[in-house]
Amino acid sequence: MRFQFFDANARIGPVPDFNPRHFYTADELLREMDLFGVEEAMVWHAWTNRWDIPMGNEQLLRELDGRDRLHPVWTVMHHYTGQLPHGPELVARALDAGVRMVRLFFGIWGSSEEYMPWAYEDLLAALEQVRMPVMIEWENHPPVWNDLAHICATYPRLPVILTHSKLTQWERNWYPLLGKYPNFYIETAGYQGWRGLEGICRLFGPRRMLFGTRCPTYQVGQAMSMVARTLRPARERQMIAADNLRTLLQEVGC
Amino acid sequence: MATDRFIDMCGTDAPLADCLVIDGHCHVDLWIGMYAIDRHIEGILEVCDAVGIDKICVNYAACPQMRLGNDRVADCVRRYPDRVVGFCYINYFEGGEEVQQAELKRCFDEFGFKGIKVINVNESYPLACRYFELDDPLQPTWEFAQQRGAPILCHGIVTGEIARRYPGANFIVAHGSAVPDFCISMAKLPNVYCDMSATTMIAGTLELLCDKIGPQRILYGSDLPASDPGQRLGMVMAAHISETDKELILGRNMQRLLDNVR
Ligand SMILES: [Zn+2]
Repeated sequence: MRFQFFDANARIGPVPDFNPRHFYTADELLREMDLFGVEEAMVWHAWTNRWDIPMGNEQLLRELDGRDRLHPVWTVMHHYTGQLPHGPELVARALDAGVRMVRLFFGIWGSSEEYMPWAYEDLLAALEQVRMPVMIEWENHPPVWNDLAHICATYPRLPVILTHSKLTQWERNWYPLLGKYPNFYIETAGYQGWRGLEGICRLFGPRRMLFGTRCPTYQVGQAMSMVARTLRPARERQMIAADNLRTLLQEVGC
Repeated sequence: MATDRFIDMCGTDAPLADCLVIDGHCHVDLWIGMYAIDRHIEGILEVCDAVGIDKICVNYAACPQMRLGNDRVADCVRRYPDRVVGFCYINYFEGGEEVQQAELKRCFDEFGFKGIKVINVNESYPLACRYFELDDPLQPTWEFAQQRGAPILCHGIVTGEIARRYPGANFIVAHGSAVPDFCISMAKLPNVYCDMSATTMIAGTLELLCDKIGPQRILYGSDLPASDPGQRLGMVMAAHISETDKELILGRNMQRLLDNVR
């Protein structure tokens, strides 16, 4: 059985490293997707966490222009530095630009960015208002589970998606989150647990996982193989591979 | 669609049926504080059947008691002799020359094990060496491996000097794909191999290793049940290397090492 894949987490734009297998442009991403058989992807721009958020978001729209299978994901933060508009205004602009998912980065190299509930409340409330999914990443730092719990509990209509580079079999903290908060989701690329997706399906159902690749840092095919080779009914694997994400995106603005 | 059949299979649940697949780095049962469903041998083989893994090389390195762990592996070998290859865990804490020799003989001659596993638990290996006043407390194990032509899965410990001293033994750098520099530094030693069970999985690593140490020296391993074979197999399947190289990595290289054991 061949599954349809919709990547929740792809990146374009240059990063300051060298790897002959990495790619940086929208067309290279599309070539890779075609090679492996990925239909669509949610895409963010590396400039947004390696250079400047507004410049990266604008550049993303330019680079994705005319490529219907690639959907823009903006990086966001609070408005207090003046880099980005106030939450409701930012969300309105995002919707205008065709953005249906945003990303929050905490703990980036050289930055003290952390989740401060009182600084992020306007932004998160505005996102919740239109049910725009927020993908959260702590870079170079383990996820801060209490922050995730706070966001999930405070904004129950907001889909909160955790992505992380490495989540192993020893990771148990997300089980209480999955158990307590129906708006908490996991993007699958960094998870490598034994029968891991299957275990989450058994406990919490197949709705809580979204296929993602973290390409080009990780290979597209390995993320696909993990979902395709999970020992659950094909219908559940298809939900993880694409349908769960489609459902979340359809609900944006409703 | 792709011309490489492995790449073509990444997005499907087709088992790797037309290719020998041996997972060179496996465990069984409970594991240092880990949570996972179905870690028993039946749960492991159920997944292997579904994805097309023919054989698994199993060691019990996490067990605080060497003989107890090896007994558990022996039980798996006894019940599934065509599927499970036993790797004898040697813990240098539990004894010197006689203890190591006796345990290796017991595992190889009584239980039919084919390989050895050593691990520098909690980085305490140098400390243990000083306690026993030995330069190399695993010398009896290296000598045994040399005699039998056995592969040794080494989590840490192995050095170029050791590999040079025992050319008849085959040393596998456990989680080697996480330390490509180290594996590349050993490239000139023909009896050193790279195990690719690693929790870091940056795209391009396997391609780099193939280029620098050669596909004959890379062994598929997953570290199951601490990891998901669907994903780990995908790392090989999706790599931009030839199908022949993938077949070597997935099983033929390890089969060659196992055939070499006397
Ligand atoms: Zn291991």
